[in-house]
Amino acid sequence: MRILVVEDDKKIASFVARGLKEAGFAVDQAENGEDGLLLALAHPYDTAVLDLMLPKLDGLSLIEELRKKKVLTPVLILSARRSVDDRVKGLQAGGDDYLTKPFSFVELLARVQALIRRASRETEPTRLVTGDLAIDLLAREVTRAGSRIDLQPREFALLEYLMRNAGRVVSKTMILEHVWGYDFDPLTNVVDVLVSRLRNKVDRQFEKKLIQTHRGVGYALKTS
Amino acid sequence: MRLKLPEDFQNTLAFRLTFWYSAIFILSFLMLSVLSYLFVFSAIRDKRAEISAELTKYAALAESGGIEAVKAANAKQANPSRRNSFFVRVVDTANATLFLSNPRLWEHFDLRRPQDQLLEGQWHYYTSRRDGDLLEVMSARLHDNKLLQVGKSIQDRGDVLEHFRDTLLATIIPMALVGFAGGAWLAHRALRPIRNLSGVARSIVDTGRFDTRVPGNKTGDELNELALLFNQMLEKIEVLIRGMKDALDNVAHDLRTPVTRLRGTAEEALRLGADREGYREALADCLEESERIMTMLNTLMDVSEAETGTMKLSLENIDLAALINEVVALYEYVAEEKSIKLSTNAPPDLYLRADRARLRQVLANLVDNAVKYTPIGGRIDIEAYTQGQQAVVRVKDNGIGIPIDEIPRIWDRLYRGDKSRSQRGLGLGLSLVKAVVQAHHGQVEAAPNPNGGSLFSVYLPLLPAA
Repeated sequence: MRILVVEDDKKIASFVARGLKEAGFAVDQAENGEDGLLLALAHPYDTAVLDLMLPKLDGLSLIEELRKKKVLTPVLILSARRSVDDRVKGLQAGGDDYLTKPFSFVELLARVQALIRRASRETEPTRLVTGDLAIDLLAREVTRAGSRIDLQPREFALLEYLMRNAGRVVSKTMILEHVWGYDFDPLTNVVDVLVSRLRNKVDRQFEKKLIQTHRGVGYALKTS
Repeated sequence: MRLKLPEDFQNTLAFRLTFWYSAIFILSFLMLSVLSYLFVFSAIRDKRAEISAELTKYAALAESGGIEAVKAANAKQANPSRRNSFFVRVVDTANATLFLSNPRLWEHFDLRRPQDQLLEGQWHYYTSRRDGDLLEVMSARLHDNKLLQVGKSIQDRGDVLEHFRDTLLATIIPMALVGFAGGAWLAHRALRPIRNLSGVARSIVDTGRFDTRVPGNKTGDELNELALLFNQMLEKIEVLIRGMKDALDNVAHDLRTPVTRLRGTAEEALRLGADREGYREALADCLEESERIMTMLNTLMDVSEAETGTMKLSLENIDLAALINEVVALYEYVAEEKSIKLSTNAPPDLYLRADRARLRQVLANLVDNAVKYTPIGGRIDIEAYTQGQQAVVRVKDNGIGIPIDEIPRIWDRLYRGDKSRSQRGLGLGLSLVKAVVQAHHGQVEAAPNPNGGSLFSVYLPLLPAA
């Protein structure tokens, strides 16, 4: 898996590139739009992470240029602008997803993986397993160490989301978006409350705790 | 760019007003003069009728009583002068004078018969050799072939006309000056509100300060209305600018505290040289703090955008009951944790035009607020109904309530009541509610709940004004 990162801020570019490499991707970097376009045309990348404000050639023009040349590499746009208009403009130009600065790296990683998954059209699993925890997506049944756990719909949705991203940290924003379809921060921490309920049902009677809190970042479901 | 430059002057409104005013004034004066001249002139022409009448009278006398009768009729006139007496003359065919009334009056006139001219039945004139006076005469042939002439001096009439003409000519220039001065005065007066307006505008451009206002007059005319509107516009701009400045000040001020915490945490960890776990804690604190800064920044931006009217609203038809249920779903677990009973009561067919994401944010903030300040075991009722052309949403709780004297201030940015300080929050939730509702042309209201706790109401137009 090879990813192109086009970002002119060296610090952001380096932490994104390092993080992606740690996650097992091969990463190429460009510091301006023109170099980015040349690279994107020369190699079949699995995903491109693209800043909008770039020297020489801005991000939107770069995407349009790519799409004109029938290069369908999925593009994740990074932007400091958070208005709905800017988001729509980016997606209309041919971007596939949009992430506003400042972003958390776990969110960027999750979005990159989602783009790759979407492009490769992996077959949807009907059963997810992590350690002794298993959920059946069709029957909507959850078992841990063989015994059934009853979950309410939103608790189930959260667990499913955590298990699909097992081993990775997901941020509170991502949980809000997936479980409630919300795209803004509610002031009270509804996510914390939902996670603690899920913990009570999934982890409390067991010695091994699967749901872990990563302070300041989010939550992860891990066996270790 | 001064308007007073000579080459620019003829383009000014003041010049054009003055010009047209004086032009119309002078033209009216001239027309009036010509009309009265003609009137006087024709009034004087009517003397001919008098002369003709006199001629008929004397002709009748002469036919019946001869020259003697004419003489006798004429002798009655006392204290004769050219002005008040008629010229009466009888001549024979050789133009020898047989009778002449008051000969001294007419001695300077050249009474020779004009060449090749039939006198009877025609108006003709004799000229005085001394003063150029004219004698207007009509003649009639008597049956004994003598010629009877009756006339009158037109000296006084000429004088009147001449005097009249002279007066008119003499007044034209002063009148033109008066017209011009009047026009200039009128233009000056009429344009004073406009000069005030541009003076204020110029001072704003020059100084960048919006606190000057156009002085109004009390006439209530169009220009006064313009001045009032201009002042209202300035008022609005001032409010917007102050709002933006306040927002910036608030952002700057309120970012200082979390940024100081952020910095302090990082500094302390570095200084103390903590172990691996200590560093982890410090870094996690930093992340949380930066998250908080971003949330605050975004909310402050939203509040300012909504308050200054620059927030973009994508209006759509919204099923209010469905939206309320969505928001309640978000808080159901939080409420359950505190054993708070969350109940809703909204009719299924209540639709309004609003921005979905923004309205959801409004409702979420109200419910969030209620959940935060309602103690364990309390209850929150959310109801919606229509009232006239408005949709009303009421969020009622039986929590700690708001002291009456704090009610007006709870909508202020970053205001946190004494009782709410113990709760985690930014103090921005309610100001965002108010700003977004007002951006939808609605109103908000807070009151103590009669059963204890507080009652928040949101009024939104079903069809907002375009």
